[in-house]
Amino acid sequence: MKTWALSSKSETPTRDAFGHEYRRSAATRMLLLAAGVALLAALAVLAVTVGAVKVPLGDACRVLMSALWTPWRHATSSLSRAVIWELRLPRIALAVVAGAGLALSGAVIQTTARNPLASPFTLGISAAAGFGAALAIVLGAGLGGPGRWLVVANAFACSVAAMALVHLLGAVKGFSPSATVLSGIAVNFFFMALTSLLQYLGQSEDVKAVVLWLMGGLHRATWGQAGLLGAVLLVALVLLWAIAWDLNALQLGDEVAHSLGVPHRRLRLWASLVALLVTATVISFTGTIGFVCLVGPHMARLMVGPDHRFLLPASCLMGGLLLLGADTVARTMVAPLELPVGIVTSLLGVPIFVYLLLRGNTGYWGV
Amino acid sequence: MNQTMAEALGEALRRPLTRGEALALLEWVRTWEDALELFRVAATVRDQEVGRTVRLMGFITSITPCTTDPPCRYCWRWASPRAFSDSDVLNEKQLARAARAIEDLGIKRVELGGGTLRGEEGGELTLRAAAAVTGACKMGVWINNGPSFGIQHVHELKQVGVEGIACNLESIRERVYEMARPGDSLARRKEIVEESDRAGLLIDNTLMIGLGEAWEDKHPYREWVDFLFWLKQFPGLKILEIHPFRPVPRSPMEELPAGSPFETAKVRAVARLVFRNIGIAGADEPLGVMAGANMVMHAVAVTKKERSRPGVACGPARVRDIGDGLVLADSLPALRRYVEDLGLVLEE
Repeated sequence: MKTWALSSKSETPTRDAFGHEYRRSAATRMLLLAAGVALLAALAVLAVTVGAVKVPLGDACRVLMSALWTPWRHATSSLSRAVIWELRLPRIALAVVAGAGLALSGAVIQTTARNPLASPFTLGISAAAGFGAALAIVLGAGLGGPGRWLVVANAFACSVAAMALVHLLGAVKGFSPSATVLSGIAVNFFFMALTSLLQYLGQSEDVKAVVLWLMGGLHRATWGQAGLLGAVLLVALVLLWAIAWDLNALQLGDEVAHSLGVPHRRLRLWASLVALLVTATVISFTGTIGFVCLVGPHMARLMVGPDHRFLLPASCLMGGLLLLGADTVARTMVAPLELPVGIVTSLLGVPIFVYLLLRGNTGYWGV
Repeated sequence: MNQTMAEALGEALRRPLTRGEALALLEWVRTWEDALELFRVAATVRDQEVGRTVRLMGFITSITPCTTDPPCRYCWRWASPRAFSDSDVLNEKQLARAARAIEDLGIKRVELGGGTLRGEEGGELTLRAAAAVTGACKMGVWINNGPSFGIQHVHELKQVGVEGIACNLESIRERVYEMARPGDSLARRKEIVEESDRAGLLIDNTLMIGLGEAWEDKHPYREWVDFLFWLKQFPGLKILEIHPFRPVPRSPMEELPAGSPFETAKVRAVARLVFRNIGIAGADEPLGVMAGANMVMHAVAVTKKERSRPGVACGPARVRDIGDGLVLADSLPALRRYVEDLGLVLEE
């Protein structure tokens, strides 16, 4: 961890020196966050212009501006408007909020589990969602709802069930980090086995649909989905940001947190519940999109350090950037074919993750 | 007419042609006299199997722009950059209006045409267009925009109420695709047809007579027969279009020979004797009616005002403004008069 600068005149840091260093460090991190927002906006504009239908940058800008000034509307084709407003923008919005949600969850789970390799997926959430989706696709069974909503509802319900199971098992050992992770691994394998069983029993077309769902995708994005995920993300971010100091204490260890008056068991339970709920909501709509929740928080930590007041919004930014970037690559890399975004996030995420692991000049938490 | 040909035609009155008989008939019929015999049998089979009623298909274009790169070397995109461009595409409100206007004329089925827009966006736009039309009318809705959608969309098209798919092959030879359609894929088109049939969607397909032939080439009868018998595996095949290749001015293939109307009629007749009770397009041409055709595509077409309008062979359409930037080209008056002159009737 970066140490506070000492006063030039004394070996003992002064209150002013602390204050100055802190303000400068905070300003730097705020600037980095602002730069991240700008980069995200630029990537979103790029994503609007690329795809099967060619939309030049000028046309794309006119279409976007036509929402504010009607005369621009007449200078654009109805196809461009339909493609941008009804296909690409909802997809971009979904990529940003889903990526943000996954990375936010990852940051929280890594803190509560005190394990840099932990993520909502390690805790069996994705395997459970996959089982729920497979149940709907192969057997047509599950919670109510027509068509795709059956898949979404099933994935969500199974994710929540997995979450409950992990916490019940974890409760036996007093919600210790290792107990939670081990419970998650057990639940993960349990649901993976059930999904494999359904794939073994299913018709080839259903199996293909299950495999595609498991690879993740954003191609069926709607404004409704993006809005719903955005609302969930916002509520979760506010809740988690409100306990950012407590999470800072928790990452230093249960004893430290306890000595600082933080109820570590309750905090671990509620913070991870919120995080898992966000993940469950996201992957119910998008399918399994790996690595964002693992790599996003690490990149954010690299950028703004381990302080959760900055780490949480930075993780959201990094997650949004990662998923939007991966989705744009997925749409264009082998155009006109489209790769499942889960494959691209993994392909992009692995080298980044390996790089982060090999850096080695600082400890995992940046200390 | 030789004895064997007479026997084959006699058999054809009672049962579908085999592959060998179909090929032999195309080889044997080399004079107009022999062709008349073939046509007589084909028309008789048509009258027995599906009657003397001419079925009609309405047409709305376009639902997707064409982004095939490079464009097919015989495509209208070479003649006009506007053809199959973004500006041709109708929005959902216009599609609904177009469908209602066509239905008001008593048409029972409509085809939504467009260019090839591959990728998820092509599939999404096709689905939305299909849903807009199925929600606005009771006509059977057919989709004809090439492989603009993937196998994964086929079942969803069925779910939104689409009746059939026309993912036209036009040729079944890989060599023709390499030469004439370098930006397209025969295998992908075949996959979509196969999946559409599995999904319970009806099938329409097109063979283009003369596509890829040079001046010195002999007619590739075997390939045409292969095309017909490849389609024969699909129980959902309901419409077959057999058209001659027409060289488009300024296209790379403008100097190649046009498809022969005589060979086109021969293949239509053989197709009637193979498939018996399906709709075969071409009833807007005298030779077509004589060869057993019973269907007219584009009998009524709706397009954007500024676009060139598809029509039928037997006469000019009446064009009227239906609002929202759309025009309707109505060929029914010309068709009715023409079909009745030939002793057939238009479906009501």
